[in-house]
Amino acid sequence: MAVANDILEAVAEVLGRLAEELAFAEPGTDKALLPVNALLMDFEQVPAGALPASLVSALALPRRWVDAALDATGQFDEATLQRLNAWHGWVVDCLMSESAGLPLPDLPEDLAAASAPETPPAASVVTVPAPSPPTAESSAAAPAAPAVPPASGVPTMVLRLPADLDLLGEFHSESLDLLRSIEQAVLTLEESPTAAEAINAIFRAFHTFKGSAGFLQLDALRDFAHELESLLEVVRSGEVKVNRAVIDSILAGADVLAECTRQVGLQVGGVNAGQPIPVPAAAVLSLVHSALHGAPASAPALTANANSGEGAPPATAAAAAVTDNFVRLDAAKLDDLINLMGELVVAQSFVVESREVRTSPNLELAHATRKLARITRELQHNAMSLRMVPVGGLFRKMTRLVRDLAASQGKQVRLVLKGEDTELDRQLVEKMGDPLIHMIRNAIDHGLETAEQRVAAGKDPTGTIELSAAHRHGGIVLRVADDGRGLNVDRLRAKAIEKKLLDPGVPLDRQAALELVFLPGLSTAAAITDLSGRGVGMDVVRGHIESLRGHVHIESEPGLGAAFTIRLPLTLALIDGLLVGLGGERYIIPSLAVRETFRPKPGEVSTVHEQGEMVGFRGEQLPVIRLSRVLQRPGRAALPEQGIIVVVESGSAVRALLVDEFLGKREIIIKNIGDTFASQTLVAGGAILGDGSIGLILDVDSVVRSLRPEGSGVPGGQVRQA
Amino acid sequence: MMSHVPPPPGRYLAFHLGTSYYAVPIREVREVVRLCPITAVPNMPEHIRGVINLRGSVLPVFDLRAKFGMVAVDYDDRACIVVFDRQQDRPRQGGAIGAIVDGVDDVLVLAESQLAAAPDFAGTVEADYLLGVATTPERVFSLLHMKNILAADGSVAMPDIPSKAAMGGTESL
Repeated sequence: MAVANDILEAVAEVLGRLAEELAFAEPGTDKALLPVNALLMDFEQVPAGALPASLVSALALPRRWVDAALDATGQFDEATLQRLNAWHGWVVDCLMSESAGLPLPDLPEDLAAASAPETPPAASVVTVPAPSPPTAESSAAAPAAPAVPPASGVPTMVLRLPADLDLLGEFHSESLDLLRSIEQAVLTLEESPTAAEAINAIFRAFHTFKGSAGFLQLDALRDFAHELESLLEVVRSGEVKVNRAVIDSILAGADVLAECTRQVGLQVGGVNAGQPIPVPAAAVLSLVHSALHGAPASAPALTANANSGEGAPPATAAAAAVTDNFVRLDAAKLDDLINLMGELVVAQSFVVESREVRTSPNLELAHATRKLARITRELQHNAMSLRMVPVGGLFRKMTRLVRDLAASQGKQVRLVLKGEDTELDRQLVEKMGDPLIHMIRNAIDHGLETAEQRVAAGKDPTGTIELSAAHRHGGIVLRVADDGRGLNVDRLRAKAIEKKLLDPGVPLDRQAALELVFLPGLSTAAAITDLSGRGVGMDVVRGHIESLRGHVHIESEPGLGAAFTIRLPLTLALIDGLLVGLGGERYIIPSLAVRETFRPKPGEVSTVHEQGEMVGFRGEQLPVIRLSRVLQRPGRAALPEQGIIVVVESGSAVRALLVDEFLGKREIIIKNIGDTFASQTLVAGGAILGDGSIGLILDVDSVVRSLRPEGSGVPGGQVRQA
Repeated sequence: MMSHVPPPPGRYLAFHLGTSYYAVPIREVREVVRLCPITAVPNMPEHIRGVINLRGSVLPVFDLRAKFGMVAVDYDDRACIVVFDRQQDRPRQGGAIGAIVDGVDDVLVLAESQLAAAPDFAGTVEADYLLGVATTPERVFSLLHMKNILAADGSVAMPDIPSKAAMGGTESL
């Protein structure tokens, strides 16, 4: 296969620079690690199919060594460096062979050997005592040593390197995910010991550990995971209730798994490769035993473990070690950085998207711009992540609120938190505090019944409020749900009519009636006591959420409770948007409000009552809003089928927005357009597009409301929701 | 309300709309940029033309001709946008605004003797919009009270009623 010379030259050039960087690298330091990493990434930029697969995989070989070094210690170690140098020599030969049209040389023995110490046959791995007790050497390499020091009798496992190198790498990253989910589920369990979801999550995690360890013939680990799984099996069946002992067992077990995982990661990265890894199961198993049978086991390690799991927020050894690495910094500096980052992204896309660059025959330029684009993207991603914080801190503040309110109201309330480590923009976390307090207060004041009422209704005397967070559709979804009496739709409607907020003649479906709760004016002091539902400042809550470019949706079933679902963007600084064209102009519709886009077929849009247009979408008829009419700008699509329908949501209202064309999705930095435009609400902000011009960001709520029938004052009109 | 105090001496930026000549105190001017394509914002009074990208930030632009009720013309390549700092205490906070003019002429150094308070009758320009007048050997300049002119475009749907209250504006977005 003939390979374009320029690509080989580019690869050779990167190899040359790699050689220079490797010359600077020193074992035990991070010198040259990042440059080497960046250069290896350049290989990944080689267009698919441009090089023979054998050469591509040869170039990709060091990727996992460097990844492992980055993940584990952030430093080069002797073995990795030796391997990198050996690989470099070999791959240069490969390149020369390739350009000469010769077959590639084999991977040299010593390179394979450097990463592949003699592996004992798999059968001998089963829970044997460590052949040579790990010495100071290995514990020095492992600052977070396992709680129970390896002693004789501790089962060990030996990794099959290099045969299983890839699989072990996958096992390592998968295990890290599993450990995180265990940790998260334990937090949930501590709040609500009956949370079946959390128990199942932990069960599944241990089960997966068992399966993967078995597959990799890490029998000691498999057996250990099996014991933990059995514990959870018993808990799951309800035979044993979740108590402190169970949670301690889970945590101690997770700690051991975490340590083993860490060791696997190190070995995959070339550190101590081939050394047996101890699986100090005994102490944990005695904990498990006592949790199952209620009898304290005699193992001395028990008390130590029990202490480590008590009181303090549960965290694995690894997580605890990380806390020392936090840096406090001025939020304003961070904001400046993010803003500058935004400018950089725009400037970068200005260069990369310019016609001169895109049509330039110069490959070096194309290479450089691709690299620029990639680095900018990563930098942006990193910068944005700096501002992201877990929502857990905010949630935990609510715990106190719930306890105090429940006490003052004489109600029994349990707060269940879910998805606490979901991350979102610090600013959003700060701004969501008040609305959450509002909703939780409402839930306790008006939603939840007293214990007697609940028992009379055949419910658990303790009411539950569930506060959850999750990432969805590129945004975040917060949910406040209670299992109280639910909203009384009839009284809401009566109240709205009494307050002259609603025309009695207007037919309302159930959802529209529920949404009356968001009407301003319904939430007067009188309404609080009169209404056996809510109404306390929900208009304020909605306004607040919408000012954060979010939406709130309400659900309620009489007798079963109510739930408010809040969808928010991940960050205030940046949004995902759809770029659409109207006439010669371009507008941005925030993706969070968009369900789908499609081009209507002729005849699909029908005119109803000679007034409004409707289009069928997933079995429903949606009102069509012509953007050109709302904005009073000329559009090109005279007939609907000449344009594109963007299905947008505003609260529970779903509308078909007709635009001329769909120009793509963009990540957009929102710019304030200033006081000058405060008199209009259709445009929420501006964004600088790739060509330097400005695209206006539409406020979907405002666009949808602009079509609302005059004077009815009904949110969402009479349109059915999906 | 008219100003009976002559404007202070100093440097003024001179520009014109058709055959009318104007000047503004130079310290109120941030910069002058060439007229570039403007993104129109819907539902705004006619004289608010839209926004441009001024080195990464969004600059609102208004049409001084339309503001003064003058006939619209096709701007040629001499047309400029004069960028004013609206609120000097809040730089970078959306304080700047651009005004389209037919052309920028010169920086005038005006002495006290050349400056006078605004006359009672000020042609098409409302008296409140004037700081005063300046006389040079070549011609007479109307010195514009940009603050009053821009005040009306702070946060409002009342483009032609100058109101100091509107200066505070309301925060949008």
